[in-house]
Amino acid sequence: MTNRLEERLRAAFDAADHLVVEPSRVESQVRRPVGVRSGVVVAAASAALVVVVVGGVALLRSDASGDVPGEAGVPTASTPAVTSTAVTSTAVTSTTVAAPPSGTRATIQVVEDGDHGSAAPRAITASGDGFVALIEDPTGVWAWGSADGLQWTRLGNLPVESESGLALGFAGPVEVVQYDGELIAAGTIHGQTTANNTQGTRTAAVWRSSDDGATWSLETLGAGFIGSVTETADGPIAAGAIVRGPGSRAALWRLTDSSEAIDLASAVGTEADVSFVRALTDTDLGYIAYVSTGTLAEADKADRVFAWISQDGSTWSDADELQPFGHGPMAVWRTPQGYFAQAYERAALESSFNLWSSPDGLTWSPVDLGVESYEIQDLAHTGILFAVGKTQTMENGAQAAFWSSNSGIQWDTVRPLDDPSSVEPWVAGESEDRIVILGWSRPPNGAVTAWIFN
Amino acid sequence: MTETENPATAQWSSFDEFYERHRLELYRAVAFAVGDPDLASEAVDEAFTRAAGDWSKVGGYQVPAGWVYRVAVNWARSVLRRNRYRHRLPIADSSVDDLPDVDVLHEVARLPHRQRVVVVARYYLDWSLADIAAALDVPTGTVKSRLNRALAVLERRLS
Repeated sequence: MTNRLEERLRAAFDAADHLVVEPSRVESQVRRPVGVRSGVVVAAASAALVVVVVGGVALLRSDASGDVPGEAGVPTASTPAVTSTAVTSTAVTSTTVAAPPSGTRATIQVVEDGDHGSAAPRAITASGDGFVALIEDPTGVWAWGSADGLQWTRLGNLPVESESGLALGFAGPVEVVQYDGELIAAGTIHGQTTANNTQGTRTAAVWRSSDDGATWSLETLGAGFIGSVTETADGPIAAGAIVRGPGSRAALWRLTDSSEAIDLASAVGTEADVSFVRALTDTDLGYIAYVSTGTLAEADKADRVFAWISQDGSTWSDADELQPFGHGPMAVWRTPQGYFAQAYERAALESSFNLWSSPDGLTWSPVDLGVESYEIQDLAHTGILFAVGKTQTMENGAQAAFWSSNSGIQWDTVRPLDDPSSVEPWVAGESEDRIVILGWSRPPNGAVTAWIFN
Repeated sequence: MTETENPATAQWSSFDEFYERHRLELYRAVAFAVGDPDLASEAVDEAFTRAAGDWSKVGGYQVPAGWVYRVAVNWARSVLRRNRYRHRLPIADSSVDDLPDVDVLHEVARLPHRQRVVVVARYYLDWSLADIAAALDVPTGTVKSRLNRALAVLERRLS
């Protein structure tokens, strides 16, 4: 069947090939690179080229830089520093921009009078030519935008009102991603507690914005909660649970068309009153959902994590493997170096680590970061892995900490240029040439801290 | 040193040959992948310009055309991200009726971006899975999974 489809695909492309005609492209207008001589780029391109100098290492970027992974933005130590000149068809432009050194830190004063409220970063993603972050302050959750990761501007607010204008509660987005020209945030709107509902109402929610992050629309997905969002080959998928009465049922939502929940609990056939998806990853063979299940009588003890597996996202089976993970925050990242999870050990009374690695997403081992006790909050990967969190020692208490690794096995501590106490790195985002980390300050002072690393 | 003996000139000749060989094919592939003929044209020019600027390195890659394809597709995508858009066929409406199996192309256009990029590389450019993996800088298993999912969706929608 697939062979027949493959033949159809090849035939369709063949038939259409000669019909794909480049619009208005006549020889006199061809913007063709005409040569490379001695490190000098001579190009008849529409975009001016910008040479960014980082510590004597030149990164060649376009001012219309796209989302170019890998080599396009990777520092090459062998590249001579700043010898490139860009020539356009109409003008000669040569601009040198000194990027901040790796490890630079900046403070974003989110709440002007810090005594009157705190601010906390909730999520970050690369967007267009920069970054968009979601930051919570006493007035709600706002999108903030930055070109360089250090200077930030407040954009739009994530609404929490229903179509009838009724405020549903406060926004708790857990992730923001960019997909097909949109920014998509997902999480939960937490409503007020009542005598009958001591947990408060919980509404699974998706917010969408065009790429500028200025205006967001809310789409409610019914009673439920979303704990994570995974970017898969099929687009972003939110994971959490549908709330049914006092219980919950593990569920996923495809954010490409959202709205309709995939009821995993029904698909697997579990009889548990309480189930929810802590995290999701895609694999070469399909998906793995990391699901906690329990009974209402012991709802707060649903601390076991099972792997539920699917090849197509529709049919699910309960795998035999019991994960070593317990309750608490959990996230899973798929990287070229393997799978990594942020999770707490079930058997331990008090975990001294929470980063794990796995070759297949099913069998997990703790990651040794070379310190006695650490807690990871986020992991970025740009070819290399970059973990952010904190260390805990008797002498120094909690300290912001950063680690990088090429292999995922051997990790090195990365030092920022200065080491503020009482700031905890919280979320990390990556673009082609830098990693941006946002952290929150303790005690609350209304500010968020940003670091960049190249 | 004559011009032909100059290493930089030799590089230039090599790039030129590469450009002549791949320009049209990659333009059409990017047009299928991003669904906008104008943008595909700019994107391919941008990618070739970057390749020219770093040809000593790009020319040494396993699949230089793959690098250009990836850079062009990602550049186009970053532009598309600034605007809401609908993917369309990069073919004039008046010509669409001439196509014998246009449904296939319409369904390819509906695929998620990352699956579409792999499908175009596999069935239009006719690259091997390993070459696509090298081009997109992802594991071969990832290419397989994107391709399998795309084929499963296409199979369902076209049946």
